[in-house]
Amino acid sequence: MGKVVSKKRTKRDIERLRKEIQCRLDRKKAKLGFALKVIEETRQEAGWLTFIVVPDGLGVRAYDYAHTLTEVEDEVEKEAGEHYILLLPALPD
Amino acid sequence: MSQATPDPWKSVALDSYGAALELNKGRHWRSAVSRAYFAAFSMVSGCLREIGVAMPTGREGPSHGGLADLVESNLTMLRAQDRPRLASRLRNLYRLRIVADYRPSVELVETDVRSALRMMGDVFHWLKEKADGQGCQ
Repeated sequence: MGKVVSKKRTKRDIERLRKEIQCRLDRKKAKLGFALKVIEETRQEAGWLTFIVVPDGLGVRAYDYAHTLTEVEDEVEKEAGEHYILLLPALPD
Repeated sequence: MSQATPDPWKSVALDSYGAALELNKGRHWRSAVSRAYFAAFSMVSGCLREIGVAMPTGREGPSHGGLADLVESNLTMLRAQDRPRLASRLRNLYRLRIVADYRPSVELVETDVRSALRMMGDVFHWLKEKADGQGCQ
């Protein structure tokens, strides 16, 4: 399989992706026992589009939080065909 | 390409590995997670450099966000099924490290640290054992 080339995404692309990611996070809420929310802030850098996902309420378990973001990132790549997407709990310095 | 002397990132990796274990022993959960990730990041960075992967301009190591991708596309001395597993450990560890350092409102408990140390151990194991003698050890 050839290498997938990253692309600069438009505002519309970003909004569509945000909804896609939020929808997938919402589907995991019952199993997780806590809610996660994609915030407005994004970063495009070196071909990667980063979304920040924050807890939306109490009862968040750190490992499950981290692992869920990895799972959803995989789903977005494998099922929605979107590459070069990062879901992070915060934007590190 | 194999080097006579290990890449300097590997010494950083071993130091961070030991620090993560010590911090865990001292019940410094967040710091232990942070060091566990950095140990894994450093070991992978050393391996990538030893096999000739170019780092971004002006940097000695890869970007954190793109590290897992570099593993999947470059560490071909690992078995094909182990590359995505290693990449997945790195991605989980990176996020756990961000929670540890940037999300103080999220409780981080001993079991989270155990998970982080286990993932760090997996990364070291795959890179030291399964790639043994093939350019990254």
